[in-house]
Amino acid sequence: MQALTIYKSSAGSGKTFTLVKEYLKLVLVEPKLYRNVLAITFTNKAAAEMKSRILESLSGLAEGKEQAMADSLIAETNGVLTDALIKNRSAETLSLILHDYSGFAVSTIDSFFYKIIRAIAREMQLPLSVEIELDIDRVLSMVTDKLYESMDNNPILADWMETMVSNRMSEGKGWKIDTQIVAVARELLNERLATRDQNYDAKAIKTFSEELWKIRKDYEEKVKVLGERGTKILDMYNLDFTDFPFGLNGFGTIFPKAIKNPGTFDIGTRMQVAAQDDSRWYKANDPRQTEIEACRPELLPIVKELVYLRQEGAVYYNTACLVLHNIYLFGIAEDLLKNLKNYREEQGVLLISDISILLHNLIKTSDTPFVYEKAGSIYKHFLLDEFQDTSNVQWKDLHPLVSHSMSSGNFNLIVGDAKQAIYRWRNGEVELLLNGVKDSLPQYSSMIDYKALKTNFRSKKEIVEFNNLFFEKALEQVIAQLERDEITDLDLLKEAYRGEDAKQIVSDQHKEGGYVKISFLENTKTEKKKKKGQETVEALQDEEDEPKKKWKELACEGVFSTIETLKKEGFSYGDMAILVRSNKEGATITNYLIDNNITNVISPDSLMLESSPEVRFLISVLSFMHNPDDSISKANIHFHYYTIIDPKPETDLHALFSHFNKKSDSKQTAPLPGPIMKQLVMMRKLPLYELTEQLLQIFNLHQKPNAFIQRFQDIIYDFIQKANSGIQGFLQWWDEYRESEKCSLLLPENQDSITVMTIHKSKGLQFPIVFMPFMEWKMKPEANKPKTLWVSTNEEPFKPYCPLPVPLNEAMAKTYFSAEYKQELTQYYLDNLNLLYVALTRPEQRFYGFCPTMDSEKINSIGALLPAVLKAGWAWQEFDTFELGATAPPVQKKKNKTTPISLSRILSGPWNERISIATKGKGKMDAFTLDESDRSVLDLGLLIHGLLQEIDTVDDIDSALQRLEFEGMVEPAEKDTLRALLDYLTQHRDTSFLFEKGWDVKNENDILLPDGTVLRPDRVMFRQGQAIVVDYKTGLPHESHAKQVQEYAHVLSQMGVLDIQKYILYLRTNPADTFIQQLP
Amino acid sequence: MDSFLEKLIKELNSKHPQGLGDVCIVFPTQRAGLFFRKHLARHIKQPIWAPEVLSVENFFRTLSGSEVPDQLTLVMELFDVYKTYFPDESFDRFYHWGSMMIKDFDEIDRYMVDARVLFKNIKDLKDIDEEFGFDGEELEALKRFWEAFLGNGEDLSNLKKSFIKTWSCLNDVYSQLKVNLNKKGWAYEGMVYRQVADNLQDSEARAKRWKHVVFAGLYDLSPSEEKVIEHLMQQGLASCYWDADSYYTDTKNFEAGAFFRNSNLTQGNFLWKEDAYATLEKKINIIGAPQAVGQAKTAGLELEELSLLPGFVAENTALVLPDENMLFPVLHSIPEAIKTINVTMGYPLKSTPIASLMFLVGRMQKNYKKGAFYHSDVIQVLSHPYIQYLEKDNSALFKWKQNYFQIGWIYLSTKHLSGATVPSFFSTLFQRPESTDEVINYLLGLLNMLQKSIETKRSNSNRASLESEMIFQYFSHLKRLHTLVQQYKTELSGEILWNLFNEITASVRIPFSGEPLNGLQIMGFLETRALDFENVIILANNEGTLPAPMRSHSFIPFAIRKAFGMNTHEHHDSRYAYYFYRLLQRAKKIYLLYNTETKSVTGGEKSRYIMQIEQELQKRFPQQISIEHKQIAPDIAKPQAMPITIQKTPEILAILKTKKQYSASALSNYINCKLSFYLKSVAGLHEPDEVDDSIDDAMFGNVFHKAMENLYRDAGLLDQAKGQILKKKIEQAVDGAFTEEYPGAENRFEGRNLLLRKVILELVNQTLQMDLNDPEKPINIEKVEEKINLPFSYKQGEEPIMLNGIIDRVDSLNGRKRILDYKTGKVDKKDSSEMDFFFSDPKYKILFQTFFYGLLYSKTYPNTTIQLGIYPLKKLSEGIHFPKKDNANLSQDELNEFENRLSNLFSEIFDPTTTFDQTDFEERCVYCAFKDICGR
Ligand code: SF4
Repeated sequence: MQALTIYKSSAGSGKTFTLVKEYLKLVLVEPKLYRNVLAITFTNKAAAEMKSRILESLSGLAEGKEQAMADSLIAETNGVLTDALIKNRSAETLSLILHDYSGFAVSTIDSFFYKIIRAIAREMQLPLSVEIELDIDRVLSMVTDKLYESMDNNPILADWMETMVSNRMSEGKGWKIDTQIVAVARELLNERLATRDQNYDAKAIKTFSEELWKIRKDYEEKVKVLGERGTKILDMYNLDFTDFPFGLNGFGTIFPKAIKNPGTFDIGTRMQVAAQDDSRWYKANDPRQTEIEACRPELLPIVKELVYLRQEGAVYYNTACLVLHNIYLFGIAEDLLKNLKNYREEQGVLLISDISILLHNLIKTSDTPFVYEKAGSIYKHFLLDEFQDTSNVQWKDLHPLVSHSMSSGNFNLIVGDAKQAIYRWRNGEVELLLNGVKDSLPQYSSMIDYKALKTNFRSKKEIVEFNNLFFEKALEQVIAQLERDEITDLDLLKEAYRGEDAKQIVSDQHKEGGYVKISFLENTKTEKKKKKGQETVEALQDEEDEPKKKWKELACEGVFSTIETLKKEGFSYGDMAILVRSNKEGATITNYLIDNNITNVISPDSLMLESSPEVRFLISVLSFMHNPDDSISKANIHFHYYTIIDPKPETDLHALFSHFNKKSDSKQTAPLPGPIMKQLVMMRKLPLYELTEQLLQIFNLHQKPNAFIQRFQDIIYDFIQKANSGIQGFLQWWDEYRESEKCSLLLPENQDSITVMTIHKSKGLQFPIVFMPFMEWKMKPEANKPKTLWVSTNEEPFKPYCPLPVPLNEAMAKTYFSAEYKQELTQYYLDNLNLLYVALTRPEQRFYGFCPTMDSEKINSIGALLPAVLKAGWAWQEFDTFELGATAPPVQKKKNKTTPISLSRILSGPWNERISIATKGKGKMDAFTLDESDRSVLDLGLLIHGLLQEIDTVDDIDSALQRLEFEGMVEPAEKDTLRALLDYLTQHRDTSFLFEKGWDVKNENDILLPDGTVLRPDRVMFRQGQAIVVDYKTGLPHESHAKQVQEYAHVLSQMGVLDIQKYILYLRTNPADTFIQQLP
Repeated sequence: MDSFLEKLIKELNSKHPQGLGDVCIVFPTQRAGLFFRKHLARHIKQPIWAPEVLSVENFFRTLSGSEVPDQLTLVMELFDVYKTYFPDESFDRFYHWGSMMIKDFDEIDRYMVDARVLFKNIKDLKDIDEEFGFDGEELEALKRFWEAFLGNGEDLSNLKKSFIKTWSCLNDVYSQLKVNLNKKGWAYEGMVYRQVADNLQDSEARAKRWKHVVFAGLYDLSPSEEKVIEHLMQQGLASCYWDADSYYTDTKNFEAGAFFRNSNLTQGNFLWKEDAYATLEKKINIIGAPQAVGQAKTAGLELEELSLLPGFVAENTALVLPDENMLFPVLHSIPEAIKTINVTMGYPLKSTPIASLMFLVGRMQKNYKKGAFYHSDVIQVLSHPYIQYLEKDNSALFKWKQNYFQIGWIYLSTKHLSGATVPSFFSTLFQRPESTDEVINYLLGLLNMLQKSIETKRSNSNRASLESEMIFQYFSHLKRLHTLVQQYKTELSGEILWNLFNEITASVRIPFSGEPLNGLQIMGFLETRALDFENVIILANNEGTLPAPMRSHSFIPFAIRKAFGMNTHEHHDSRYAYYFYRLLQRAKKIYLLYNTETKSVTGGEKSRYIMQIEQELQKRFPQQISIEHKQIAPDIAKPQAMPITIQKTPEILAILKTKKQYSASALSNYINCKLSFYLKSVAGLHEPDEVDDSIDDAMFGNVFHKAMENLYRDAGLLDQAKGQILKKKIEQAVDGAFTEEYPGAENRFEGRNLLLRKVILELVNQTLQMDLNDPEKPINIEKVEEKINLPFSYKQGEEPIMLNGIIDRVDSLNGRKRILDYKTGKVDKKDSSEMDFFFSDPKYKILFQTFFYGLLYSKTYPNTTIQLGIYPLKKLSEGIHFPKKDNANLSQDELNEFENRLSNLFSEIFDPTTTFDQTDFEERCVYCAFKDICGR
């Protein structure tokens, strides 16, 4: 038996089916095993889905359904399982799991690790109350604040920060460095860095940076000196640098260039030639031949050295420059880490990214078995899903478990697809799936089996075949390009795309009926028309930061008209998805469609809460309540009030807007119904959540259903659970996050709408029709999105400080980090190829792509890749529309069990008048004011009342007092006062009889009356047919008191007690003032 | 079918015909007792003494004679013992560990485990067989654990050392704590149970105070409880009534019946086991809705529908909240038809407004530094709802805030927070307590003040009493802490104390309990025990919420717990399952709601109970059980923003013509977006001047401008000598600028402001250097911040209008006047010959403005040679940017053209046929203050 099977599963190849099947193979053979199998997924959602898939299968199998699954199980277990056995065991397992659900271990990797960490929190000196903070941004911005604060007493840090600011300013980027700091912090959390063995020492870094400066200066000086020397020699021979062949473009320019730009100038071919072949120093019949020949012996070594220095010799210098570029990042890293650590400790939180790293640090030692034992991990089999997104550290954490399991010959499973690895930025390490796992388990390599899931169960034949060929050719193109770029280590790419799984087999259910169309669109760069006066507004528009290119416009048009056609063919909006790279692109296409009256579109943008006028209205109300002087929010309230809440067609907008300028009298009655404005001010006293409910009621926003409002309320609800804050805090939060996903509606499924989403979000989903309107993006790091890479080298003086943060750019190629640069480039290509792969494998039936016509030789973008691939694969003619397959009508889908319904309105109403709650607190607090003299008679009475309730006889005094103290009702000092009073009561001749022993005491016991009323006399005592009833009072004597006691007596007599004495005990702070009154 | 309580009453009445006055009934909750009494009243003809009703805890306490201290006292007691072993631990850190340790001890006693054996420190694996009397699975688990611990005999790692260090002390700590508590007559809960179970004779004697004890509706008793109950039953002093159903007791593996199958007390025929599931018809609605509010609203609407059905009685309906935080959303969503609402649950103290206020106050105090509070902390505190109660009409607070918004203090010292005009409560709120005592007294004072004003302002409202209750709870915990700190002489300074408050409040629940028992019952999940309702609505049926997650941390490793038969997740799950199925047992209409949102922590996965019902219950009793599924998802349509257009009415035209002075920025604004020009310049809407502590463009610009003004005012000729003098003045100029622009900032140059100050110093210095080194030096500074007003007639026959502008700096150099502007923003180098764009494209804003100043200056001082220049502060290294090619001077032609175009612009502004409308370019809206009005 294989102890580890690694499945490579391309898109749509029934990965989940396989996982479930493997799970069932284990538990159906031995049902109790469910407790010992751990299935690990990446998201909570995936875990929940996996659980329900397993349960559904079990329940289906138990009922004799799911024949396909049953057949595979029988086949793959060599008959160990039979139909009958499967039926019985499925029922048994289902019942076992359902009734020991906590033992049903399908979990995300984070929550599994978290459980382990908690079990050893104490030993790791973590706070017990440790919480997982998912909101890393929030933490980082807090830590950044702290960093600023710590500048005060940390001159080195202050220095770095200043350097950072001035560096940025010299790049014309402004003085705000918060984003930069947050970016560094984020980098430092990255597991690759977080697990390095290195401590930053600010002083050492300072020295290091000085060293780098020196390298830089020395080198430049050296080059300059050479250039000057060369010039001098030329002078001596009466030559000018232009006197060499090609003059101003000749190799002689090397001298002035060396002087002017010693660190940056490039060595051209002519200079190279000149250094090697001195016969080319002059042309035939050159008039200056003699002089040149004369100076040549002196000049040649200089040229040689310069060429060397600017080429091979520059690596050292280049590296220093590159490292210097971000040295300040390095400088502040240490303090940032320190602050981060403090923050975690103070707040008792762990960042989600900390977990696997903490564990990693433990696992490095021999503690592993102990750690997992302590946590009670009892798993024998591990099934790991989406393995391409697993990070190195995560694998290292799991490694001991898996290898231990393998050593006992237990079955384990890994499933993943290197082609769908698009989470490298979250540390996903695709190499693990390809070779890493095997390499890390050398002693078990014979027990590892690689298998491929080859059949595509998702898409129609034409789509599967298109993708098969497409990615075969795409790989060839990319490899050729990279080899041209002198990158040769391409195993990663090859292995990812040339695995057994790459060529998919069409499944029997999905024969013909697929269709692929890629339109190539005119890509004229909108030229700026120079002629004055002809400038149209549109042309100007193209100059804005993100140019709206012509082809994008055409692509939108194309999508729109295709949708119209598809509708006519019988497809519904819900069948279609539009995949984009960024939310911004999403907004472009969404707005286009909406402008053209296709409103059934759900896009990240249209889901933003701030796009709802009602929400904006509520926000402006809150702003107004926070600062009633804010004229903009006042105007905003009124504007929305008269346009959406209480629409008046005749509203005079000017009157409305101009009402609130600062000059007008703020006391003036507002045009809003006066009472409402007033009420708003009053409502500041309400807690935030309640406030929103009341606002809905006041403004009648609860009469209609409104997804945005409801989500807004949920956001507020969540906010107060977490942030403990009021209006002002919320507004601040809102300002910060209003444009983030946090303030967006949650995408509901099953809506008949076109879904616009990013490719990343589409992973794991499928749609009958998929559009990709903008098939053009760079496959290389983009210059306008600077990225930092942490790199290492063995060269001195860099080595001890590695890894070092350097900007990722082409300059890296000429440094000691060139290998890393090339590797990174290859990764970029893989990432982007994968992205395309994910997108192209989403459609079931049809794919529509739109791409600008590019005339690039280089395959450096998707737009350049597409035509090259189509040419190579399909002999496609340049710039035609590419078409494949034939359009087939929509496939009828089975209906979902439950169609979602919308609520009829937002139910919201007051509760204050309807609720009843017994309170302990009322009046009691005053009883404990610090100032004794403050204490009112009534309060003391309440206390003593409570005390006497616990006292049957003298013996109970101590424990009664003690209990009161534990409840936080009295302080020790106050106990004395109370005790004095109690002592008086129990000892004084007038009252002591009440506390004698030998009585049967009913202390605040209830008497039930048939009509349901309950009487609770303070104290009733019985002895041999005789009874005493007492009530305690603290106020002045009142006739009602007597009446009450008489009523008690009356009821008692109804209960058969004949001899009753009746008393009222008037309690007073001063024992001596206390008196008892007997009633007739 | 009778409810459990009804059945019990009938049974007890027949067993005790002489009345129940001497009987004690032990229920799982106090709540059940209340309901019991209420039901009992229906069965009597004349007054009777109610039986004594106790919870299990109270029953055992009564039998033991020990007092159970509150949690904090226990932790303090434990800390006293613990300190002798671990002197370095601070109390706030210990608090949590201490609570966990007590919980462990508590379980050891409840499960009557021999602590000495449990806490054995195994040095050699061989010992295990001898030391423990286990075999089978338990022994295996135990062995595995110790094997993992001992490893291959290598030296212990730090982690293991840390474990064993605590482990080897635990038995001593445990015994010592018990000795100490015993001395005082105290005990923690589990200790009470054990005492009672260990001293059966005494316990029995104590139990005789009642004629009979009835245990009703209990489940999952620990060994100590079982032992006591069994004994009392054997003595004929007690009887047990269970509430079980054959559906779960007689199904193998069904966790809800585990106790009944395993306990000695329920072997054979026990009282009572019913067949309710098999006989009663139930309609179960399983409803998915998004998030907390979505569920609350959905539940409300379902309830509304339900309430319209004939025969609906609110009292027979329970709305159960496994997540108590949902109380307020739910309260707001109760349909009007329901007139009375009754709430019974433990509401988390940390979710109350008072806890949030205390948290904010704590943060404000924590950030107190150098004699001042931080403005944003102060404002957060002052915006808290409760603070609004402290003043009659809030006028003083309002005035103070207005002042604050205008001036923008960043650090608030006593100077800002006291005086005759500030609200009177400031003196209580903005104290600076130092010692533990002071801090607690400070908070107590605050709470008192709040309580009083809330009570007086909202007397008699239910909300007020709810809130007083919350405040009271906070108050009494504080008070308790105060006492203990004094008693145990624990000095807790600053941070620690604030942290401790948060720790303590995090675990406290306020026991809300509604009385009388009328109307709709809103309950916590555990409060439903032993009660029955016809209609049951349960929210938050999601894994992770229902069943509630188990407290999983313990000092005792899992394997060891398991070996000793201590509480594990099986027990926990079994309890919750029992409560769940028992609650549904007699119910007829059941609504199970769950959160459909997968992104939130508590959402996505349906509760196991829903799956059990779907997979098993219905299949088992298809006749009785009908299930309906529903999914709630709101319809979404992208909201369309309304276009806004303002017509130029005569009134508006009048404002435009008469009132206005036109500055470059107002006109730029017009070019950017006509509507925003209207809103700002005509309607007069202004942003409030919020204080912002970040290095923010506006602040940077303001301070830099001011600093340059300070430095160059009266500077005159910038020769080398003057340069030397000015250099020394830079610091003063910059600091002065800070003080003028942001009063208060100068006191605390730290953090961002410190950096900002440094940057500005550097920039001012660079600017000065640049000026001193100008190739054509020396420069003569003519004017700084020169204000110019210019009447401008844009059209024949129209009244001239006023243009105005403030020129950052005018200097003279080599016979020309230079009009200079300091630009803090990005300076795009645009072609100055394309004057068209000045008036249509905001990207040319800077050029527009400089030319505008050029025009103002040349009209005011005719016949001067003018050069326009910009200091790009973001790229000062590149020197002054002269927008004209080859640094040329401004020509008359250009001035004329600019003037013409400007006139055209004004003609357009005053043209009544054009309107003020929104810009077509949405990217221009990004930084617009009116975004929310336009919906852009
Ligand atoms: S949001 Fe846009 S359209 Fe509205 S006023 Fe501002 S700039 Fe103009």
